[in-house]
Amino acid sequence: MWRLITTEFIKLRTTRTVLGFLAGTITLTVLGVSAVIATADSSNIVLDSPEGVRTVLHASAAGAIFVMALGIIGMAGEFRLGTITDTFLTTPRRGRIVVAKLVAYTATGLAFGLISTTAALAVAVPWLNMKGAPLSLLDSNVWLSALGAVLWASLFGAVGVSIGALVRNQMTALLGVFAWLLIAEQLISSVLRGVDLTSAAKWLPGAAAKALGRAPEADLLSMWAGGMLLGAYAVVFALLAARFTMRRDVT
Amino acid sequence: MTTIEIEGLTKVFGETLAVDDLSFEVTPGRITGFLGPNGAGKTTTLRMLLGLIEPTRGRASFDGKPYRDLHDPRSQVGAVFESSSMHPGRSGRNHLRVIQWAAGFSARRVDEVLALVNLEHDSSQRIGKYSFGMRQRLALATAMLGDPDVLILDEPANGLDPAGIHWLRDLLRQMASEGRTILVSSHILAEVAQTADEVIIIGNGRLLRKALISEIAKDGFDLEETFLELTGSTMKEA
Repeated sequence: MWRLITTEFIKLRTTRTVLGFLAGTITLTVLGVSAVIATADSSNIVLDSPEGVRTVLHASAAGAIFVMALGIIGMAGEFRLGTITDTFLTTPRRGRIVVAKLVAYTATGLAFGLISTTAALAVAVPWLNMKGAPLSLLDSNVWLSALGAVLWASLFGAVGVSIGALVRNQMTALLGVFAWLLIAEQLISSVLRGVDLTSAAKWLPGAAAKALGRAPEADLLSMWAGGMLLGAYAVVFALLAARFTMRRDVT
Repeated sequence: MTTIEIEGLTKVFGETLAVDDLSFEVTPGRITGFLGPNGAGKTTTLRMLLGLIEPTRGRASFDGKPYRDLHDPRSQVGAVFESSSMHPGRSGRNHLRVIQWAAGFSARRVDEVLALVNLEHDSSQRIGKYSFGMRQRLALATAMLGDPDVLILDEPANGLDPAGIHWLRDLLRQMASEGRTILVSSHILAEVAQTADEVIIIGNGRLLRKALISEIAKDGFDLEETFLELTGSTMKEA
């Protein structure tokens, strides 16, 4: 199994996709953090309050969507390019490939999360210092937000692999998750609010991720409950992926 | 020495019967040509043999074992598909490294198969820049990584120039003489007539004829006449 997991890392290292995505993650994180700090005064965010810190650091989770996309491409991309034929010829027990990819992309998400959190802190620490609202890394509010962002990215890596395996069409899978996370969930939340079911919205996967990342929003689960829920979603998607997709014909 | 066994193999895609109760054996030490018009079910049969497509009925195996149950599939069976695809952004060498590593072969094999197919000098180029013929050779190198007992090639001559075809024929001859099992699908009859020792002809997913090339010649026909007569009749039926 270790061999198959390391194979996934060789695959990642030998194309340029991962570097492009890493650049995207860092850029989005830096922009997100900068935007919050730069507009804090005009949008009434008190930077040295706990909510202010969470708002700033929450921006480092922006990269999680890139990790999800990377997981989708890592799995569905093999079907798109046809490399899945060689992959399955080498490892005819397909479930092992799914497991190897789940592990590899969870680890990749972890690395992405660590890098984007580091980038967020690299921007936020000196800038907030200058603004007279210094961040302390010993503040539990700071490191819990950082931890949440890292776990979020890592779970999204696994979910991406499962969705890639279930949908198999890379473009459909990418559009689907973007549409869900960026549009559909917000609309569903609005509908639920409209029919007095506001509290139901926090059980949706995107809301669970935000809770884990300690997003400064009302009506979210606690960080730990959100993390458990997102973890449960990841497990359910992984089981569905292993159960249904891997029997299909590769033509 | 490995014998390929196909028994009652059947595949239905939706309403289409792609492969219809097909049975044959492929013997080691020979080159066996697998012939049929486009859409006859050749690729579907080969993909079922390799566990990529689930048969509706029947079984396909290597010495009685389905591909999925082979202990070390890459060193028992090598396969090259017509639509065999590689990541265009990866170099030829890295493409081989991925599979060499996953299969647990020594890194030396990558250099050996690159030399075998004459791609040493282009191995660090990205596959997206390869010609079709170069990609065919890389696919063949991939199949040879495990030095397999069985070699399965789907339309290998496509995209090769005459020198490449000549080289491939010599390679297959050599491998067959070492007692390996070689199954080559093709629709280029002249190529098969020159290379194969035995042919299996299918049409509409059914076995039409299995014979040694020498038997066909003895009947006073050449391969093309035999092929057209057999496949023509199934086309009329259809």
